[in-house]
Amino acid sequence: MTTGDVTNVQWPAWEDATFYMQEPPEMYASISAQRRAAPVHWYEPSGYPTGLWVLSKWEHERFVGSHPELFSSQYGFAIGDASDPSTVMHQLPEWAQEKLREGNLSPAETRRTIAHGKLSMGDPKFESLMISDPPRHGQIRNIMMKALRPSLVRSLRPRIAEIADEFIAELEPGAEVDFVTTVGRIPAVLMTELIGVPRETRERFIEMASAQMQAITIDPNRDPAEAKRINGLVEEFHTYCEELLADRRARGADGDDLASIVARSEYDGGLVPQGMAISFIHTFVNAGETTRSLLSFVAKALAEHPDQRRLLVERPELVSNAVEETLRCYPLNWSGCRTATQDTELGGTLIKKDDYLLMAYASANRDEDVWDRPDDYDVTRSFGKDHQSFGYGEHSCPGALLARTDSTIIFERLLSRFPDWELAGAPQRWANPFLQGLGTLPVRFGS
Amino acid sequence: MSSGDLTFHYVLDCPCGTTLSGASEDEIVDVAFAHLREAHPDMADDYQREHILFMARRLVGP
Repeated sequence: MTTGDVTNVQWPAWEDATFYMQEPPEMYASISAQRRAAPVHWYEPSGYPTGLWVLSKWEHERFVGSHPELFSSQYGFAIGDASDPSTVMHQLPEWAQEKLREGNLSPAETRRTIAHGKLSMGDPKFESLMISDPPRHGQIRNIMMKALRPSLVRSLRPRIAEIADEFIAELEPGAEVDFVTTVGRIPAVLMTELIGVPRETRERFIEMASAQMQAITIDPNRDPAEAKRINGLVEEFHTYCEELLADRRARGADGDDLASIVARSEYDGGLVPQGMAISFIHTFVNAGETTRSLLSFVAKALAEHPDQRRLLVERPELVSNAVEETLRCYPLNWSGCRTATQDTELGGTLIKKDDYLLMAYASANRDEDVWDRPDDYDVTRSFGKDHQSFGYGEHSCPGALLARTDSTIIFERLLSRFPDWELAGAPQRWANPFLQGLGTLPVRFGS
Repeated sequence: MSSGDLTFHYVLDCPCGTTLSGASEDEIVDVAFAHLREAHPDMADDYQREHILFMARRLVGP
């Protein structure tokens, strides 16, 4: 960790998973100290070949998100993408390893290879929304948004409520349950239905999808055995998606499921290329998995703040506001990254072309210039400005509407059945420098 | 629009990434249609009032 603040609070080690495992008050004190003293800060992560800019203020992050022409997503989108390649080779597919071994890559091209490699599931032709820029990004995103169109999400409301009621009916009052693997599974189950995964393979599909989520994070400290397990599941996931899409195309791809919609979508005058089609399935899966995290944090926050939970029981019209407040307090991505396409000034600091920037969502969401009492969890909070948790601009989360709809309906149903619940043990947090999530959340529901 | 001691407003995230807001249902619908006409004229006819109100979030606001 670095210091430099007059309060002697250590500043964040943004690349280090253990930084995020501290107790939240200590971690946020560290983040706040840097935001106040150095809102645009040059940081050199331990063991990384180059440094990067850390942006801590809401207004700077919003500016970056609003200007994809100035800040590219092609050259990495997470802090781990800037790792020393030799420390993360084992987490990448062979084609990316070969390219990195050839050398002669600029720092930006190195990041691009790492980011592309980790997303690619072994397929060098894989093309993802996450690492594309306008105008190509907009063309790809349009296909995605047609699949996850608002009218589809709207039509799902009764089914979401039905699945939620099925899961909630299995909860036993007074018994300890793991929220993450019970109610938290609802979005993944819904997503497998939407994609069109056959019932008999849904559990395996969810397991593979969870591994793919973990593979998004490049972390030099990941245990090699764990990396091998994840890589194996990711390869299986890629093969499964290929077969699913081939099956839909063989049957005319005329169904309403997302796999059929993707299989018949067009791009550049032909069918969507296979690598892009698989990336869409990958994005749908991410939406289900990140919503599991969101649900878990809502449940945790409401267990820790019974006064807020009681308020929601009395005023269920505030549930959607509680979802936003949870997203603000518990961003599902700690941060996101971009690369400057030209020299640009931010907060009086010159950012040079090709410099890497980290937008610290965990900081912007508690920026005292935007949020009153930023460390309080308040389900009646005014959202005159939006949090950064789904990003902003072209790269904002394409599954946000579905995630919000899922979460609001599920908690409306849960609160009407169980007005009370409490933590039954310490939650297990992910040790991850990019994604925030819970491995377990032991809770006990009242009668 | 107020409910009890709280004032609500409507926030809509256009799929293009632009955030829109309005003080009432009527206002967010007007704002959204204006944005559609300006930024996505090819899609303006695809949306009706009910679609926009579904996409809008009713949040506590200023």
